[in-house]
Amino acid sequence: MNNFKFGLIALLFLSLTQISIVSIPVFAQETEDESTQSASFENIKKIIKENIENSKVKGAIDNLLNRKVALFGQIIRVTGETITITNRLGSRIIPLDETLTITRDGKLIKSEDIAVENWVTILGRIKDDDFSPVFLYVYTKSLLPKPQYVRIGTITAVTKNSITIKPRSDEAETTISIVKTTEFEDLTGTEISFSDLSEDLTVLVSGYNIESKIEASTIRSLAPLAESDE
Amino acid sequence: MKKEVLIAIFVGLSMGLIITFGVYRVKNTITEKPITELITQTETEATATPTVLALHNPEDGTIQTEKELTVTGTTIANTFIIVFVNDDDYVSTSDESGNFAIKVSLVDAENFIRVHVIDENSSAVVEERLVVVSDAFEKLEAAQKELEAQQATASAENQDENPGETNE
Repeated sequence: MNNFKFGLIALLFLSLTQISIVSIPVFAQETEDESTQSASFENIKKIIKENIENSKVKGAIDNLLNRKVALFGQIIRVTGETITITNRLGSRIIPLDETLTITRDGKLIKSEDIAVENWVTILGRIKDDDFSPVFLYVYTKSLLPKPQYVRIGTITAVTKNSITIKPRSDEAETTISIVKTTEFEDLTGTEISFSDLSEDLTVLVSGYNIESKIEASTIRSLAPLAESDE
Repeated sequence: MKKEVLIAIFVGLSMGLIITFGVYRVKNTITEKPITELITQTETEATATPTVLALHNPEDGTIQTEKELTVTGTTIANTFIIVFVNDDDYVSTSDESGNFAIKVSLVDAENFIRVHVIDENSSAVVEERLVVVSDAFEKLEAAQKELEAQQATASAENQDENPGETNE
């Protein structure tokens, strides 16, 4: 009986030892991984620090910190010390100070000569998240380009100076005017002539919407063109 | 005898369970990913959602002296991209990865760049950027440097003439 008990205890001890032996390398592996990772991070930090002290990187960072930026918009409010402009990004207040160079038509003007509804282009610097204007160019008319028109559709009619397309979207048929500067291209972008376009041809049209009239700038065929009979 | 058999069976079962549990724990510890990897994987999955148009260059409000620019970005693969620079248009396509790079010419002063991506259903997405071609800053910095040089020269001459005086 004593021998039996002794045997049981020995068996239990062996099994516990076996489990411990298997577990220890796993934890040791984790510790090694962590120590290797922390050494790598320290090395990386050291390299980054050395590079930051490098003048070239410092110069690049200086450029980023004092970034030169341009703004464009229409003036909606003028005070003695600021103007407020609005553009596609929203409204922004621009400070006016003595160091600001203000010009209109290439001539220097004073801040008092700026009026609401004028358009302005402002060149300045961004430092510490603040925009500091340096140059202010004033315009009486908008510089924004003409409204643009881009569609893919099928030609339903061709006349002497226009084509009619049915866009792939749910829009109705649209007549596109052909002007002197309209360019025609085949599937590969190679120049072709207006006479190469025909009904049922799928085309990409890029142009401008001028007072509800669409003028084509480029018409590109999206299908191989039929070979002309010689 | 019966009692001893029962004890032996119980001990055997217990040992088996202990060993099995130990192996199970070891296996889980080896195959378990670190939390940082899980976070990175989750972030990658989150950012892997495709966007219709991502314009890499130019940045909005760029000021440069060069009159050429390469408009780059990523969009749907094999689709048409039309870049308008003021009233000039450039038609191109994206590659199989959705990347595009289109060289455009700029004019002096303001260049309003609009990038249209149009898909097969004629649905378009537009991104807009302002690029100003100007050497105003370069001229200003050159003038400031010249002024500083002149001031340094004048200060040096002043000291040569009156070595005893000190500047306050």
